[in-house]
Amino acid sequence: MLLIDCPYCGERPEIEFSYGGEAHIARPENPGALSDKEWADFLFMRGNQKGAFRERWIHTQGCRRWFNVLRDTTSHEIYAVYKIGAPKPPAPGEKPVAAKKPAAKKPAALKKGAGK
Amino acid sequence: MAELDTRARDLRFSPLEAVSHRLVAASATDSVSATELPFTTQIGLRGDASDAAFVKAVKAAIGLAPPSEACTVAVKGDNRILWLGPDEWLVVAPDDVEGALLAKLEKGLAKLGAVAIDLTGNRTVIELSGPSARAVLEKGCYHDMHPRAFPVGRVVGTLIAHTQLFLERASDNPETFRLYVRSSFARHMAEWLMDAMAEFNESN
Repeated sequence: MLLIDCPYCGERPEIEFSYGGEAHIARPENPGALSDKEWADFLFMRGNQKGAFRERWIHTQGCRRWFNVLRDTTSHEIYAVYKIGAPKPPAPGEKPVAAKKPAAKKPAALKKGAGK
Repeated sequence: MAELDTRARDLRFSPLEAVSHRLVAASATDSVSATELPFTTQIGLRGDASDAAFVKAVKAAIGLAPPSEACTVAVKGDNRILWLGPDEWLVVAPDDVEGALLAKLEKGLAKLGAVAIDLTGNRTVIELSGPSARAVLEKGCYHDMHPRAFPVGRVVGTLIAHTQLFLERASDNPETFRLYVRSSFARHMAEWLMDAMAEFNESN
């Protein structure tokens, strides 16, 4: 039994959760424009990695919210739990995702010392 | 919804009414007792706790602000608000006030994109109390019942005996638990509880 750290409720037993497969698979913007192969790729093809894997879970019996888990598929070790839409935490041995560079030109009003 | 008239009140029965006498018999011990708290008013709330207007509207209607901290319960008099999710709560109040509460809530929430819905009758409440109540629940629940993980005034959605429920540890007594069980699962839960309680009943 895994203990999964629900980002809303805290650490809970695995039995309260349901699995939702691989995370971060975006639905194509325009499904009608895809070939059958591309559509099948979106529907059925998954990474099935050995090792660190980003997957979706839902706290079915608790707060009923979806979230993402970074779990090792061989050892079941959970490296990170993060909310839907939150930045991806790095997997072990992976470089942290660089924070987005600030826009080249900030609006004048937001500049430090503006208005002084 | 109009308030219940006397005739409807005479005709209705709670999910555990048929086994109430057996619950009483199973509770003939000092260590653990189970009773149904029938016909509580229950109202589901959805809204944004960071929206001051939403909190104010709920407070005006119920007398309580929806708790923003996860898994906590706000209590005032007979009214309680249980945290069920980051934008979801359950208002629990005495019998037969759902009409009045809903009217007040709907008036306050109408323009906020928040929702109040009557869930009275969806779940019945079983109150389990006594020094052995925790031991009884631990037989069928994976949630950690230790006070450090489950202090008083908390509510968790979890499973007991394969049945989904909200489990509340009463804010005034660490040995009292309230089980909010869906009506159709209430008989199963009561049978399971009576079986689990049997070993604590010295008269057996």
